[in-house]
Amino acid sequence: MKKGVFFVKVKQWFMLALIGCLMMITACSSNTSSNQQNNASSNTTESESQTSTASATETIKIGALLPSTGVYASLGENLGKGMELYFDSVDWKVGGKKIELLKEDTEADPQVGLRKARKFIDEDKVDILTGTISTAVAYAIRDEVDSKKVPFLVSHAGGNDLTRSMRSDYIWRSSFTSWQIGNSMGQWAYDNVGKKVVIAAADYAFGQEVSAAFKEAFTKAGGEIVEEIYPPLGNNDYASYLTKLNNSDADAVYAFFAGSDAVRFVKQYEEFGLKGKLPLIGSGWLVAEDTRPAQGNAPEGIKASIFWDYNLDTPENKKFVADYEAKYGQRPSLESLEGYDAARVIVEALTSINGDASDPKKIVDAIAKVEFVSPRGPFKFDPETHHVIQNMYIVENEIRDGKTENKVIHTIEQVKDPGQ
Amino acid sequence: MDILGIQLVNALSYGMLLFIITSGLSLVFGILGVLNLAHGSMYMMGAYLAFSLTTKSLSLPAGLQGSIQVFGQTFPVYRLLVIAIGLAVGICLWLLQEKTRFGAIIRAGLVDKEMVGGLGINIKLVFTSVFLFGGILAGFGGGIAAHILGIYPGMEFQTLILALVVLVIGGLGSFLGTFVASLLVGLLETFSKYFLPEVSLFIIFVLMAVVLVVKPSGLLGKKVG
Repeated sequence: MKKGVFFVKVKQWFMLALIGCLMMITACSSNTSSNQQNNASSNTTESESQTSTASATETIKIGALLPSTGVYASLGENLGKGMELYFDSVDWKVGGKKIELLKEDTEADPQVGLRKARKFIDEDKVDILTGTISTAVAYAIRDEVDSKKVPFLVSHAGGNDLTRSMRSDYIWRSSFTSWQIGNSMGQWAYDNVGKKVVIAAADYAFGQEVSAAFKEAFTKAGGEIVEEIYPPLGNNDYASYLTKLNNSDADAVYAFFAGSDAVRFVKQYEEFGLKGKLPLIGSGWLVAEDTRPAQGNAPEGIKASIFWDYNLDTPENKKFVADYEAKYGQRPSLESLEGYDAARVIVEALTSINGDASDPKKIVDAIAKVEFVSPRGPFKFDPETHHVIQNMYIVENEIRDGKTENKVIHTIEQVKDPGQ
Repeated sequence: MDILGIQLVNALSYGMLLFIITSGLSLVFGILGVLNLAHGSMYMMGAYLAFSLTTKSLSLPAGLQGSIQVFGQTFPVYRLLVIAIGLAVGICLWLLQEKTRFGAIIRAGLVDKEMVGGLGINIKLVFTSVFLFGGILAGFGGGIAAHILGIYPGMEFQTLILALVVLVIGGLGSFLGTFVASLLVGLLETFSKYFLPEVSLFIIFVLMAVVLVVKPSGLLGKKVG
């Protein structure tokens, strides 16, 4: 009898320990498969560097820190594809030197990211660092690149502080800030959608920053935030929240969700009868190129703010889209565009100093002067914050030929992050 | 009042969804004493299979895709269907275990494996088929849940944790316990999201801890010994 009770207890403890372990595993997101991937990727980089030394010309080494495993893997992949597409267009040459693109998997983990950044700087001696999808990874390597004076062009991570309180002479950002995304919707929503809004956003740093920026701009315009709801990141069922929204007296819902969260939220928004009844506005990730195929017709009518869209009607964007589809046989995503632009910034900066990458100070000074018309519109850096000044677009989702498409309905010119 | 009513329906459908997901795990654990950690993967396989089928050839019948009015609010028909499926799965499993010859063999095998074998029954085959059946249930759960919880890499761990929590709260090896625990977790999570969104993330773990302190073998767990 005693033995039996003991047995039950042991079993219970075992279960608890097991649940704990599983939670850790989920938090770290598929670490097991990453080692193999790493080996594979370092093998390919090795062979790449061999071929480049064989050609005996000098090379410019670019280290791209992008996740190729874990939740952000597809974002990292698209960003890499965008970079390669641009390097193709200049035949992988700049200022008479050969471009060599090295890639390392950050697993979207700050510790891994820092280790890989050190490898790039100390062992590979890269001339320029770029990448990071995760803002946490960018924050983690900030001091490293600052003290070792390695130019770091941030091509996705949008955390506000990277070009505010954590600013560095060597860090420049070509993507976006949370503030640009959230702020750009504020005034427009007040003028065109409604005066009373509920905020619903995933409960993590990015979701909070974007909502805060929206709130600031919307209340400044004269609007009122009736309620704020923050479901956890990766929440599996929005039924309870949606019922709450359905019974509020707001004019609209401002939502920030991305990836699988966006799929579930937007689909369930329709299922619970809110679509068409309570206007849904938010950030571009709600209706992104890579989430819409899983959302069916549910996104119809959503209005979102973003800095690029597939359907942007400019010659630059048409060329980019056509080239991308010709090379990869699929539509570019927002991250593809970010990679394409980041590669262009690097190439234009190095061209202006004739490919002389010996002095990092000269490289960042050259980056500061880069200015061109990107597929997303006019592109230039703010010398003060080191962050891109760019157009923001309000897109509306509609059904075209049985499929959902975004349409640009409003442009906010030259949005500049305040830098504090 | 209407809002509370509709939240109750929400809770019921979420609870039943949890039950559908957990029942396979509970069955295998209760009868074989094996904690099948591949349960989450089987669930994921079912979900992806259902997704491929529904996008390629089979589509959900139009009647199931729409919404109807419940308590004066729009509510997806599919979620009502989930409640019905959950009840059906529960009743079928209960009947199978308690009222059929196969169920009797399983229960006998649980008490004395050798004796059942001595009576000329291939007990290994019986246990293997129970394991197989548990796996099929997991996949079935995935197919049903995919439409609501979505499919994405890493979903198997999230689901496995939820299923294990429900299993522990209900009591290891108790089928009725799993059913009660599913409903309890569904209710608690839905209403906490409504009244106290801040605590909804961890409240079911609090429930698990409390249950373990007060009743270490779970709500309706069998006393082994």
